Amino acid sequence: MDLDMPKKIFIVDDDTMLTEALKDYLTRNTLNDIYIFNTGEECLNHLSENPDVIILDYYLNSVQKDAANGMEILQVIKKHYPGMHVIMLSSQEHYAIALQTIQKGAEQYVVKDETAFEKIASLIRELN
Amino acid sequence: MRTKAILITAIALIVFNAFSQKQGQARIDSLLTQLNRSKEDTNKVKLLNELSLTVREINADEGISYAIQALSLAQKLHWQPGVADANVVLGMSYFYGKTNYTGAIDCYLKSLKISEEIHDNTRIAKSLNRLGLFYSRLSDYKKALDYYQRALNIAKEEGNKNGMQKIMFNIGEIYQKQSDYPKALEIFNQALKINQSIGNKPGCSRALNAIGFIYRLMKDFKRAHQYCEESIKMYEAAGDQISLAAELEDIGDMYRQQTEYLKALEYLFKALRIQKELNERRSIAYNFGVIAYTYFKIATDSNTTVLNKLFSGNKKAAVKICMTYADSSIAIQKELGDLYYLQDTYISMSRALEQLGDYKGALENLKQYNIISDSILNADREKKLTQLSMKYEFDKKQATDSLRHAVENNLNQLRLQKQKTFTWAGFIGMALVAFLLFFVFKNYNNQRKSNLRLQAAQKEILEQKERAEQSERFKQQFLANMSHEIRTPMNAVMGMTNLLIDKNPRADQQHYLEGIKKSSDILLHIINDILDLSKIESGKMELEKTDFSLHQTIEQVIETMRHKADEKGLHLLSDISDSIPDVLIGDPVRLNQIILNLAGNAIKFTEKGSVEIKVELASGDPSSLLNLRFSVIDTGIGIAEDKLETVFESFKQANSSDTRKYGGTVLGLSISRQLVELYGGDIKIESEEGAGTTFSFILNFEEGSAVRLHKQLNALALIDGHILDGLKILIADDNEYNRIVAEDTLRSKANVAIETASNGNEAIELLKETDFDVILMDVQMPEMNGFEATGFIRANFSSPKKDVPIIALTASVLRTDLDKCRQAGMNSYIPKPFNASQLIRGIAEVLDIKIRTLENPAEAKEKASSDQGRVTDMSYLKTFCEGDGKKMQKYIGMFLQSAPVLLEKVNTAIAASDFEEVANQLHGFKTKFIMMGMKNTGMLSLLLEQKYRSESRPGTSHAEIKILLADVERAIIELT
Repeated sequence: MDLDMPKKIFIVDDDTMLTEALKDYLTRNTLNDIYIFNTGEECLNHLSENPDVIILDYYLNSVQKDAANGMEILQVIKKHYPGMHVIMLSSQEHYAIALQTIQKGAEQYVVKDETAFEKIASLIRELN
Repeated sequence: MRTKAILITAIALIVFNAFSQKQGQARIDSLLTQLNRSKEDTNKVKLLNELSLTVREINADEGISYAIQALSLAQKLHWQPGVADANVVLGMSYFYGKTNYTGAIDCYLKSLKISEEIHDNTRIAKSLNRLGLFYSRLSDYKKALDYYQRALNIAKEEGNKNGMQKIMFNIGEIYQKQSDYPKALEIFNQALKINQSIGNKPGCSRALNAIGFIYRLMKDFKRAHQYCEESIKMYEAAGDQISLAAELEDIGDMYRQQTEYLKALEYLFKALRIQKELNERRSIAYNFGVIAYTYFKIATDSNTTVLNKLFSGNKKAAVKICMTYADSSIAIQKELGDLYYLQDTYISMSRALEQLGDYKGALENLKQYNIISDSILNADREKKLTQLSMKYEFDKKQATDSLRHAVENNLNQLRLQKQKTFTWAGFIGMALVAFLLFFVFKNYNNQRKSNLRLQAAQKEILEQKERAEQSERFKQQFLANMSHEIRTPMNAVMGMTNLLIDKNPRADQQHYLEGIKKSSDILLHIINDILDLSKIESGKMELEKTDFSLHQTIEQVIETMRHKADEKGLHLLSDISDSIPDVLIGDPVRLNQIILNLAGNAIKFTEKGSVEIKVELASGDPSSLLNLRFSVIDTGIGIAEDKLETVFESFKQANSSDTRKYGGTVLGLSISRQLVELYGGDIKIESEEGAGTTFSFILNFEEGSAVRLHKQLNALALIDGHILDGLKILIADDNEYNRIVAEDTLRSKANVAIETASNGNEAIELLKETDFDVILMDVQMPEMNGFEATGFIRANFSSPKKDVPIIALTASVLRTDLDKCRQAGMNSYIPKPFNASQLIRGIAEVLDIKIRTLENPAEAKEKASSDQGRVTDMSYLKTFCEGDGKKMQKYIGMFLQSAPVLLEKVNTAIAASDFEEVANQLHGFKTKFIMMGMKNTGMLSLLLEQKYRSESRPGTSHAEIKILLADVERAIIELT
């Protein structure tokens, strides 16, 4: 049974085009509840709202220089909510980074390319 | 959809069943232990009664047996209350477990009589309530209400509030059934008050639920919601998740009824979440059904607000989701064997599809509905037969009883009159009448019963025959569907892969594409294996008779297997006797398949040494045919003697663990054997464990003609697509990808004008306006399929449109389907998946165009004219936005807003030699490049980001980044 149950999804990325497009994609034909945060800190403030999954960019400080990066945010999330599903997003395919994020508890590591949205959507579906 | 009332009852029953299944056994065990330990006899009666009630859920007969034990024990003890109780319990067993009405009413009445004799009011009320339930079930509401009312009065007198509320629910239910809502509300409200006063929380929630439901039936949704929400609170407080989910689902369905679809979905999904957590399969199936119905309503409501919101007004998308849920619901129902609900679902689906104009789907569902309702009827018939004779017996018993009463009364009267003339004759007369009547009844009854039995048996035989035939038809249908369902998407995958390979990919891309091609070839191979096997088994495999070269066939096997043999370091050899002529007549594809499977198997089980394919003349047959012995000889692990037979079974190999060790599909050998048998041969195995195995078979062939063979081979060469230049072609296929593949393939090989249609109707409309040279027509399409469209064109158009050549595109491999194409008036067919040559050849043949082959295939490879002028490409965005222009504008707007900022910041950063900042700026742009279709720019930005971030600083010229910036500038101009 892999029908899309509506889910509460946090998207954390400072790239507005990405967050908008991902939101568009993930609300297509479903009732998913999407929250967008441009920094990891903002996301941490809302963790208590208990999202079903967090989609977290690896590189979060390209716009705001003093912002924490995705790996730091991932560690904080996993410390407080070890069971939380986190999907890491990255613009580059780096085996070492991928391995690192998975070791730190990320569910999956998705490279931002043409198929990223689809991959994320199917990962979310599989979280049931 | 089925009314909610039934749904709720069903869910309640399921919950009860689930409970009893799990906990019932434990409870039975504990009761049995207590029974063994108990010394007091009256206690034993109680325990036996309880046992009967618990066991009844699992085994009706055992339930009856315990109740009878309780009854006889109580009678032995002359303990009247026990006798009354045991009678009620026994009656319940008869009623619910066996639908034995006579037995049940007998017991209930006995219990009532005894309770009245001992003036035990509680027991009287209980018996009366049971009698009420009994008549309620028989739909005799007047009698039922009468009994309930008597029971209620007694409970009131006794001040037994718990008893009162129970009876009230029963009364309310009858009012509800009779649609007397005010009275139902009144009594449920009374029940609520009583439950509140005694603090019975489950009773309160039940009452709230019942009241809410009545308001819903009255369409007073506001009040209905109030009560439902109230009951939700109580379920939540009590932690009763199952009822909570049912109530949430109810509310969702109510919102659906109110056309507040978003709210409806919210509640339904809430319920679904709980049901999934509890893994309540049946509830999930029901809920899926309600969700599907809600999506259906969203799709078809004249008010399209929700459709617009959720699906951007795309009705098809909503219908698709509806169907997904409906299918899932059906799948679970099938798994659970819930025929009644399944039947309802199919008929609802059929009606829904009919309303959507999908008559084919509607018919399909109607068929399913008929099948299910047939099987329900079968199951019911048995039950109904018993019920009928039971009811008959019940009536008869009442009749004889009243007769006996009359006789007794008469006798009494006679005695009372104290007539001195004691009339024996009168008594005998009465007795005679009684006997006579009794025999007439009995005889009539027996005759009736045996007639019923005979009819039932005849019907059953007919139905079994029908079922067998139907199942054969289903197998056929399944086969055809399967080949269509799998081959259609495979066609798209293989076709598009070939198109990409033709478009000069980069080396790495080429590598991946080859991977896809290889994998899809394998997949197709497996599908074909399965289809072949079923075809052979159903006698549908037909062997071709054509000229072929034996050497080439064997060489092909060697070529195909060479790679695998090399991987394992094996020698792959062939040895064809010189005395055999090279050109034979037969089916080279099947021969290849037989030997390929055997050779593949040999390689799989051989670790070192060789695999040899040997062909020699088998002597001893005097006919003019050539008797050839084919052998595949390996030096592998061999097969134990007792396992020799099992290697040919479809899903077994010498040792099941071998499958895991050696991999591969295990259908090959089975197919080979069946093919050889089809040829009239027989495969022999000789094997020695550890030394090797030899598979051999003898087949007969005629000698063929080398000239004919040469002609055929020419036809297989690459065909020049330009022979089709200037043609107007119509492609009708409902699958978008298949349309693209066919269109692109033709366009890339020839200069043709192509129009496309997604169903038969569209094709006909297009044909009205344009004269086409040829139509490629998919067979299975919605609204109007290929056969229908062809029939219409042939019947209703005038020449020359009437005679336009029509080629069927079909994934079906069944001869019957291909015959159907011809019958419908199609000129020819092209099987899917097809390649460019097949397509061109197919068209050329129906148009009598002379086929021209290409000397050098590479010359034909036309490069796609690339839009080198543009840096942006909207095709990805268009797909992403599903063609929604507004959305596309939104993203283009976002790009246009951020691009100048990027230019400015990067330029500033370069000027300030702040390379880190350059990298940061580029970083955030990757998605934007992708969305705007700027693939190369995106790739470049990635490289540059790494370069500018790395320790080794880039050179001072910044030539590359300038290219990138120029691309961005160009994109701004193109998009503005």
